[in-house]
Amino acid sequence: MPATSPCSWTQERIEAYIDGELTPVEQGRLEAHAATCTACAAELEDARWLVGALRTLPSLTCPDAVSQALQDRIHQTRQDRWRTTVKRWYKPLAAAAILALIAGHHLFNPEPVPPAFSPKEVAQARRQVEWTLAYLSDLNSRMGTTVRDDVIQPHLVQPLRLNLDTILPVQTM
Amino acid sequence: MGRFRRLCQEHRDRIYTFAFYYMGNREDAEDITQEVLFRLWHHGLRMDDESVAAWLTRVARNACLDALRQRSRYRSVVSTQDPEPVLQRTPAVAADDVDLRRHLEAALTRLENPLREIVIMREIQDLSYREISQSLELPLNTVKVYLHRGRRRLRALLQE
Repeated sequence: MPATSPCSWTQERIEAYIDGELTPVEQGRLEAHAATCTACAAELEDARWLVGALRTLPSLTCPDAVSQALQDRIHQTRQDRWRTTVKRWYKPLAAAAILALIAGHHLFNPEPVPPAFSPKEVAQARRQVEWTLAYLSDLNSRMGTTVRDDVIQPHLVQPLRLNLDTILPVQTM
Repeated sequence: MGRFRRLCQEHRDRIYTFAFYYMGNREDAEDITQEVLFRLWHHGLRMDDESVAAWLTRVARNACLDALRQRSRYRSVVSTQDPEPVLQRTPAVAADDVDLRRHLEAALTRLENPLREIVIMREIQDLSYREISQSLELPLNTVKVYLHRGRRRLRALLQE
């Protein structure tokens, strides 16, 4: 294995020398070589200069415009999140409100449906209620973290299903 | 919001400085600082204060890399050239130049990664080896090796 030349040895260690990471023996050897070799002395000088120059580069102050733009972006993001939440829940909440209205109406007015409706109309209304129940149940099972399943199912969906025959009896056409 | 504001005040200048020297211009540095602080608001508030600095540096570095990738894609489409060629003179001569800072900044933007980020963090931002090692998730000795390599490469760039 060929011996490393003094210049190569020195140049490989110039950065470590500047950072004070050489052993005293290595440090002495490098300084002794640089004292006799103009090329390595110039290299050492350039390396020192660069570190000094880099350290004169200033830390900068972030412009106020960045903070303002950040605040605007956060405000916008919050608004977008609220819109998304409303968009996601308004359908199930509207369905729940309709069902609550129907249930409330029949709880306080337990008389049978007036015969003004034809059997066809009653069947259609029944289908709509069943569809709404199924839709609500499905939505609740897919996204059911806010409207809890143990509230919706036993307290709204099941009682309505049980009472559906009373509310909208199946009629022969 | 109180903690977020405090963290922003503590770290925004550091992020901005890093991004400026990494990207080489103020517009990118502003965009990146805003992006990093937004991500802090969005994701980062769950961590403790001690971990925030290293996390922010990682996010800033990644945001810079993303911006460079986008820029290179843009350049590949419109075929623009690199701005600001580095002055062709030796560092010793350049030391007397009034445009020294601009030349150094331009040379920094031509350093390869991760040499660039390590030189910025250590020599300009005065972070300790340990802080750099934590931020970049690199072994401490590797950070030292890269720092020395980065400075040698920077000298070569200035002498080109």
